Amino acid sequence: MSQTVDAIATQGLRKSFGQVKALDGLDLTVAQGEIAGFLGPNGAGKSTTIRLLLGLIRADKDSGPARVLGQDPWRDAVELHKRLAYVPGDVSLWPTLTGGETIDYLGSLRGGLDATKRDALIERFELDPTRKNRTYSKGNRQKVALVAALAADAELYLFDEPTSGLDPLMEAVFTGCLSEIKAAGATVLLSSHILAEVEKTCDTVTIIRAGRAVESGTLADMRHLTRSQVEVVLRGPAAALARVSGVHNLQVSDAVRASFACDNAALEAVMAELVELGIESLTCTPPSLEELFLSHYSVPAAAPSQLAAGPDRHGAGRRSDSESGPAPAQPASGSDQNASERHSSSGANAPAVASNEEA
Amino acid sequence: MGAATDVRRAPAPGVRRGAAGGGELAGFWKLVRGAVRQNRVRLIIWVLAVPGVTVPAISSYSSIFETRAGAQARAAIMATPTGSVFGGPGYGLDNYDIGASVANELLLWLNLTVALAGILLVIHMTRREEETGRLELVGAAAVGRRAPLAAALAVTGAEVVLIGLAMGLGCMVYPELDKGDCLAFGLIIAVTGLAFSGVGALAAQLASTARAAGGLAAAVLGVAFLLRAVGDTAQVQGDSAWASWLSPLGWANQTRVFVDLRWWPVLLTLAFAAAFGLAAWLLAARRDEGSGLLATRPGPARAPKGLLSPSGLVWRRTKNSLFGWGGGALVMCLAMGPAIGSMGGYLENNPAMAQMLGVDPAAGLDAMVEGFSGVIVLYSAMLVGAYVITQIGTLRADEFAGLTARCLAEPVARGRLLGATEITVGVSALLGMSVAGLGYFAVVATDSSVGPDVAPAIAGSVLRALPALIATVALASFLTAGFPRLAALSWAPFAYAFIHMLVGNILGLPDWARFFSQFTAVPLAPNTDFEWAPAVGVLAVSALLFYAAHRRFATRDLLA
Repeated sequence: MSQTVDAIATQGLRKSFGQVKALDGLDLTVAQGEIAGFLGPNGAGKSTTIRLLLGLIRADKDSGPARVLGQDPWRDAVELHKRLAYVPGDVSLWPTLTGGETIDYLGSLRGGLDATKRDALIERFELDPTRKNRTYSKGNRQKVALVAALAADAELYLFDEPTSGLDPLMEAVFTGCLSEIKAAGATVLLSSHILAEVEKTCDTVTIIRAGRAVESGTLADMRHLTRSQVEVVLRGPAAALARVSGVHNLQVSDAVRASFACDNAALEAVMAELVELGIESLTCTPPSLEELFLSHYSVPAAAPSQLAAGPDRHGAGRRSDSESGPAPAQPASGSDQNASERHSSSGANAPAVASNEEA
Repeated sequence: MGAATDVRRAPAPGVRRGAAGGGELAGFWKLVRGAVRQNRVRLIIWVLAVPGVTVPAISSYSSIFETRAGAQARAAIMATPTGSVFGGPGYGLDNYDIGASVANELLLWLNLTVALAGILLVIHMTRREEETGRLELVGAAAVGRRAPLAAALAVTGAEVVLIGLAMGLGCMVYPELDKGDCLAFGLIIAVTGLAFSGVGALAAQLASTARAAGGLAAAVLGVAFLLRAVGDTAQVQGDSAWASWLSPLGWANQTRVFVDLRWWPVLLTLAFAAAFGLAAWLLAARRDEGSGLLATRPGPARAPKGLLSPSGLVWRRTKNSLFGWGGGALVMCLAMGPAIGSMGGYLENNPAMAQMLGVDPAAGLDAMVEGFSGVIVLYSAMLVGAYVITQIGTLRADEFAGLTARCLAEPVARGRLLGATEITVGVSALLGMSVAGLGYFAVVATDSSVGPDVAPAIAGSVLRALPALIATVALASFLTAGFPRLAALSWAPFAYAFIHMLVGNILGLPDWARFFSQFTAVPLAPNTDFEWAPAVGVLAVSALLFYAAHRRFATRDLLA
């Protein structure tokens, strides 16, 4: 009757480096056998999370718990590492060793590798194992790290941007390896910036920003929570739309021509309003994957609820904008168009929302 | 005819166009400014440290030459093979004075230092930049193909000329030294620096990594040293010095500076510098960015059995360094052999040196050989100690490169990783010290001019040095594993011991001052009684440091 434990489970994970809060209450759950995408802008805390899960650094004293394969990543590090494999994002290797020696050495630390599997992987990734590490390009160093990790028989694989520097062919090889891992029942946490890779391979996705998860779930779920772009020509005055909840970033020209972003969850209600106003013509564009991620990446950290809000809170976007956190002096209609317009509240009369937190 | 005459051919390679123009040297001044700014600490340290250490040291020579007998005893040492290998061809030995001794004993070491400065700086500014990819950023900007090399040579050349100039001017504070010869002395140092800057520049074009380039250039320097050692020794023995004439280090001493100055060997050095610089210049535009002309050989596709453990990896990475530092200690011990016989006569006539070594000039030859041996053993221990500090220090580099993290992501306890480094480096150091000591023991044991009791006493002296090496491992481990950002502090007791040894007796430091360094805490000289208490103390502190190192390494965050 033993219940399956999650491969990764953290609640309110915290980690500070001096004054900087790298992780600020991160909740991350990855079920066993799942390939979980782990996304977020640079500096969001992805690598810190992985290093915590590996027990390379210790969580703050006031942090919530973290369990990896049911074990404590700090206390049980050695035991746990027999069961997992890791590929760092920025691979550096001992310059005087060859790639083959490096793979064997790392394998020896876990009691040896399956030589057949090792050789097969070297062949698949087209790696020349006789070259000295210092002569490898970034992509080739990445291959060494990938072969070393994939040749290990693990229950959980932690990949920190594993395909950076790989050419598209090798990316495809890696994707193939992921399917094999999944077929074997193992779990993967895949930190990546390559959206196509995530879309193709991942069962679930967690997006983190400023050290906390702003979104997690399946991609289909997430699409539902974002906005479609609506262009409409009405029979009546379009300005009336400003009052409709679920309508954002409204722009009106020629009195009847309107363009706005619409919460997908509010689409039905908004359409009903449009029908009331009388539709001349209408186009509705669903969000692309890029837009989906850009929207999550660029939301100010203080206001994650806008997009994380479930259907029960649909239309709350405008209010949460004005409630949440410090509003910068600049109006949203500034420079960072493609990112900000989907988040600023409707029209110029709405309170300003952070348009560019990096500024 | 306007159009026809306005069309100009592209300038020939190496020809500089107008100040504003592009061409192969475009961006030269910007690169010079950038190189100076990036390397300002290095540049300042070299130019201050070399004269700062050497010029005051010349004052210690004056006491040697107070008496005729002292000068003759010194000349007698310099006439031995040991003297000529570590000194020069012996110009002015028959009328040895302070000027002749500065040229014969100091010039070689100054040249070696400035040669190293030139090699390291020029490689750092060229191949290192290229290897780390920084040059690619620069090269993509409006920068000529040869501009980076030209800028590196210009900055390095200016630096070695400044070092030489500072040396020349520094020597002028001593009224015994002829002003014109002082200037020549500085100039000789400067052109030797230029010569090896050229060697470094060429090596940086040939090898594809800074490390390999440094090795290549150091090999040239080593050959230059050996050639002149052979030639100078032959010259002192009255044979032909032809081998010295194949080496820029030899040419420097052949100027007979401070004895009977002749200028023309300087021209040889300048030509040597120009030839190497030109070769580098020609290669710079003929190869791809990032590549070297010497191909890197492929290695094994599978790791040998010996590599497959943490200590196996440490041994693999440390063994060359051990052979270098330990071999250096052994060579020093062996090379001192021929001088042992002359030591007694020299120290009898040189009370200041005797005082520095802590021996009584009246105590007889054996006592003096023992006092002298204490210093040799201490030097060897410090060479091996330097090996320990650099090798334990690789842990720090590994951590910042993320390699420690990668290893600890495997089922390996942190203590095992640290312990493998400590034990492998520690055992290597103890073995290296023992081998060097054994070499010295053999030299003394086979020297018929010293008594039969001396060699066993020296063996005891080598054993006394072992706690200091264990403490060096402990301290380096504590700092590197515990507080990586402070790892460089491992050198502090090392530097302290060096200063204590050079000036401790002269300054009349209190006895307890020796306890600040593991190297001086236990007196090594075989003619002193072995002191148990400091030896046990050093080992106890080491044990504490080992414990603290492991404790902290197991409980702290990895930095990268």
